[in-house]
Amino acid sequence: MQKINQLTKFIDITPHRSIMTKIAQTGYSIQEALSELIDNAIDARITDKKLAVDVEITPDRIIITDNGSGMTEEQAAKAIRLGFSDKKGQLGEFGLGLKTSTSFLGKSFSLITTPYNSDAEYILEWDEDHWLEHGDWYKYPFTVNRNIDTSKNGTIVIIKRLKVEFSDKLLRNIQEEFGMRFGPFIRNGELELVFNQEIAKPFEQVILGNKKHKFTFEFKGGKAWGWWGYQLSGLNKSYYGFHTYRRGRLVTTYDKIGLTPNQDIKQIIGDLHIEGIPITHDKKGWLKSSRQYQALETKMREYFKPFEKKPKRILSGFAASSGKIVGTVRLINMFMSGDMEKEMNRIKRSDIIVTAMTRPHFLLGIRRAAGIITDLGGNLSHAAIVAREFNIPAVVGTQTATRELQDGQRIILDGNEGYIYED
Amino acid sequence: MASGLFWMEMRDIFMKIDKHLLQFPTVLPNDLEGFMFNYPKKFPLIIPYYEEVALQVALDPKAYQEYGDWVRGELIAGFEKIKKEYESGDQEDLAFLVDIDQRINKLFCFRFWIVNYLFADGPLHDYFVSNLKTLIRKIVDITEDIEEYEQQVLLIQRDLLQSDYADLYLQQALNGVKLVEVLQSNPQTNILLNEVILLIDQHNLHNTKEINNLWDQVTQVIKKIIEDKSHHQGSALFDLMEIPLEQARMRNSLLPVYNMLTHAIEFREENKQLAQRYEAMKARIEDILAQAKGILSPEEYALFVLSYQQARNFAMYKDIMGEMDGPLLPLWFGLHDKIRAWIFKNHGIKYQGGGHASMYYQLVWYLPDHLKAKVYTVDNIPFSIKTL
Repeated sequence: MQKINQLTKFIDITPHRSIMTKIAQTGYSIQEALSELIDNAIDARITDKKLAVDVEITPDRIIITDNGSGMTEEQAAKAIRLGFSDKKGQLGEFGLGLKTSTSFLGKSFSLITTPYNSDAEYILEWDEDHWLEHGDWYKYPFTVNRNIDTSKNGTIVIIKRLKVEFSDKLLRNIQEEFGMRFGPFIRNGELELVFNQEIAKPFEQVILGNKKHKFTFEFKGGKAWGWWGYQLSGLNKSYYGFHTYRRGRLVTTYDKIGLTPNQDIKQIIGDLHIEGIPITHDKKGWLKSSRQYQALETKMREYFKPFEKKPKRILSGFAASSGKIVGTVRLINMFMSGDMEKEMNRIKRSDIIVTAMTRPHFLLGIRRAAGIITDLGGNLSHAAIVAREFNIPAVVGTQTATRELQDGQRIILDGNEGYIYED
Repeated sequence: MASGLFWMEMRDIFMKIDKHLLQFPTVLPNDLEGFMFNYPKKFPLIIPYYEEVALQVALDPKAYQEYGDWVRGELIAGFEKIKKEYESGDQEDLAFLVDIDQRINKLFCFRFWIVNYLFADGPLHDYFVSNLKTLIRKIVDITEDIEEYEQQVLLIQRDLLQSDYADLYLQQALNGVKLVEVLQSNPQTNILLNEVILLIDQHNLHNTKEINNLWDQVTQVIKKIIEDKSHHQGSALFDLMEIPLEQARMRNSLLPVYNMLTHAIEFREENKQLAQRYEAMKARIEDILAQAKGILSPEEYALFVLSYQQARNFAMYKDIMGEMDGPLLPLWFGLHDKIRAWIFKNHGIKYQGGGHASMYYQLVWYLPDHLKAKVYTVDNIPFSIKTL
């Protein structure tokens, strides 16, 4: 048997230049890529000073400006290094966001940063085509300008030669999502986020009865806290669960952690702030295989089980006008035999009118109501038409609503499907 | 203008329409009075008559409009004829009252029920509405997310079913906008309006009396302006307030007027938005149809247009026929009151509720035998204004 001759050699594992562009292919959405850059700005906020971030998108460029602390020469120089980060415990902890998001959004970018109380300005320029042809890991151009106005501080990222297109709808979605993603920072006054000259407002959930229940869960290695309430299911029934946050920044939307799937009609919704559970490097999710995640999920499942109840369906009819509401039944006699004055005075705003059929001279009461249920009628009945005209939900032709429902009873009216539920 | 090709597509639809859709309905969702239980038995000729008309107008929106206009003319002419005879006849004679009632029923069945119920609530109506619902799903951009997609579907559905026609409810809301303008431009009513706005905006049902006291003063001014033929706001106020003032007269209460005025103020901002939406509706419908034309096949598009036009026609003519309630119902209900009074006097039976059809079920049993027989004898004579 021959003796094995082993030799250890040292080889060059410098990444191939294309890695800088390949890392952008992480399955980002445009909103997520932009959020990475805002995360960096949030990490650079100055204590006790409100951070202002301005995002401007035009067809040929994206400009993100902040008035944060800017980067020192060393930080700026390292910002382009792949995987480098000294931001422990902050949002941009992986050292990938600037590179991945800018490469995802455009073919070139400039980063101009001015540290707080400094007369220096540092500039990094990146161009994908140039890098792929001439890039050198050891000689990256870095510009330093001196004698800059010392009152200036913050960072500007300008992305050019865009790889993405922005429709009006996408721009609207970005604005809405910013309100959701950075809601906690905006709400507590730490951040003013301006998107295409409009101030982003924090996203507010519509909660039944405005009742928010607070909770805190402690588990080995971490803690979670937040609030929950009920909402009525919308057209997309999967839009329920928690918006989860880490260090104030959104990680997942409509997360079903601790909840049973397929909740309908009355769904649990809320905010869940989590510390102690690791997240994926693209910050789009929690590491579900981690023992911390599983510990929290078990605790939440136990806690929420008694609150997950599907309301009982009590009536059905034609879905005459869309929308879903909770309200109080007001049995109204609109026929000549009824006392119009008395009947009209019983209808309060947000009541649900329950009647055999609607009559035009009851228009005032109908306008005050939040929904209509009738015994009689089809898609072209007056009740159906009037509900559509005034944009209130309606279920018509139930046959028995005036007999089955009690005046003052709380119910859920589902005008999308044509059902009535007990609240 | 519809092209020859369009009508060829229509013919294709006609070839495909299920025959049962053209048959006499068996169920009507709005049949509050339960006419379906006795009209086809009392007047069996309504069945072949409906099916004959359905064959002619179901797939021809213009023909349906012409039929709707014609039938309304007949209804008015028939009612005038009966009214004249009723007013000049012996209204204390029970046989006369029952005869008039039966003739109104026949007129109602052949010239009102057919448009107001059989077409507007029957299987053809369901067919057109469900076509719209199905085809709308094809014309909405499927690249939208599901929430956005469903929202778009519902909005188009709502707009197409509402159409560019303003029904009685919407008309009241639109009139509200004009009414506020007229009242604000009159110095006398404007002062009162400013007071009432403060009260209404409190949204408190406890101040209704206070509000109505102010409306009393406004109503007096309105009445004076209407009576003064030379007043420049007279005709505008007459047009806007005619119905509530008439209802107030019928009910012997100013409540309908109060409601109209309160509604105009309480929902003044929403009504302005409705007016804007209504004004833009025609263009909106044209946009939807253009969108559909670009996406649907020619045959589907023809079905889409047909379904929209007929759904609109059915709703519109239902409303137009409903306007006859004003002159017709007081006479008919008044006549029934007299029959009830006779029954109460002779049998001690007191019956309060119920509309015109309830006479069949509730009170006919107490009529003398020969009148009972008259009511329950099948009428096989074809309908004609001349022989009515």
